[in-house]
Amino acid sequence: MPDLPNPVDLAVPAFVLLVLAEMIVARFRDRSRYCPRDTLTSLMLGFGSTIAGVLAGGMVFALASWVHQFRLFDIGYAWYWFAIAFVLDDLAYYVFHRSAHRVRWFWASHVIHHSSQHYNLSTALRQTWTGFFSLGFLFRLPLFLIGFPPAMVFFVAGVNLVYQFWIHTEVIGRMPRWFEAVMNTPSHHRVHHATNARYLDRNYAGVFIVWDKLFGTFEAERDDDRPRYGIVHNLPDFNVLRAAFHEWWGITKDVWRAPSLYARLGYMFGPPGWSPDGSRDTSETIKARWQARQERGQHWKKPISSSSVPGPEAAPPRAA
Amino acid sequence: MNWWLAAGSLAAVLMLAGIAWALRLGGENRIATPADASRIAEDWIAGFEAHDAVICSNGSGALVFGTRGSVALIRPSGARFIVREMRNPRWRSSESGLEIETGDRTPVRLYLPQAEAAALGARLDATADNDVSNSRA
Ligand SMILES: [Zn+2]
Ligand SMILES: [Zn+2]
Repeated sequence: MPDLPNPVDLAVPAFVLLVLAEMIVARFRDRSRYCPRDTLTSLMLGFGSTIAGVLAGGMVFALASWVHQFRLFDIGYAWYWFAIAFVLDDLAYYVFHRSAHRVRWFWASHVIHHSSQHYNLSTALRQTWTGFFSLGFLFRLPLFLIGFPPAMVFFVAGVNLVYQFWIHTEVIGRMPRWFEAVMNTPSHHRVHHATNARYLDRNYAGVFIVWDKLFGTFEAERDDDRPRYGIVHNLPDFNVLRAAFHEWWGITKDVWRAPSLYARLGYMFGPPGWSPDGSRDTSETIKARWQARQERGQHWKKPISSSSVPGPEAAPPRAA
Repeated sequence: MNWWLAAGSLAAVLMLAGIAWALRLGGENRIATPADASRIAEDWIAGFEAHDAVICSNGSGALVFGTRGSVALIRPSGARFIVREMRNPRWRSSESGLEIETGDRTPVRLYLPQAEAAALGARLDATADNDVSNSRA
């Protein structure tokens, strides 16, 4: 077994230099692209994530090696096996990532990555602390069962993560057409991080955007609908611990108060925002409401201004 | 990852955050006009239709009345905004203005003359009472 390096470790100096470069660009183009408190939170989450990764890494590797015993094929370390492993691992990432947005248990870990209202290279480093606990590693097990050696899979997974770093930026508009057609790009991933109803639950790709096009989850970025980044219910502050654990806390409270076993399971494994009585927003209800609003049209060009306070009799008319 | 890399990463984290601060990136957002507040609320809350908005005296918060019985409360958060949609929120008026419970730990304070704050609070109640449909669709 070759001694493969951890690509993420090797990339850390480049991450630091590129964040620095992007900050300097922001200084001259648009200072609001970075916010020091947000940056500190993102980077601390990234730092904590690497520590959590080291702690869980041994167990994940042991599990992978155990599964690998039952492999269907013996796969060696020839270069083309690396290439095939990279593509299949990226498909596994797509499935993982889609589940991470559609199943609250996985979302509770992944939401960390989306909880910044900024979209810059420091956002890329805003990574989960609870990935092991939420069982995200299960999605890679099929690769070991096929026969890809664990060391190879973890190596290509690291390369995948390093690739995803540079796409977290507003500095790059669009890449050349052929590249946008095949690869995940800043433009495609801005859509993924946006809370605009049109963009919710779209573009789950890691490296190859073709998975989204293949499985019907692709949405192109539009110049007339600029992305607004963050989550539907944005965090009230920059607290690192809140960012790392808030959705787990939400699950705990909901499950505790749930009226039935069905509700308990729904709160854990239903889509984010699921509730037994449907009183909360899911991405479906948000999209539907947005759609209805679009269809009601643009008949809202009425004066929107009053800094004085009208009395109750001036309460707004209700639309039908 | 070894301990040297961990220590180096932590140092880099603090250094980068320090540089962001030294470059004076970010800044404190302000809500300039009621029209801005309405636009922010409509952008952030899918389906929300703003009727009119009240911004507080220093621009550090705004209340947007929707056409369907809900209200949006906006407050700056660094260089961005936090927007919460509410129905029938609890409020309290005082000399410094109007305090509104949003479900977050700290209520949001709109700096307004007390009479205006009380009238605005009454309007919040009236808006909720008026809305019998409570339809969100
Ligand atoms: Zn995601
Ligand atoms: Zn991302």
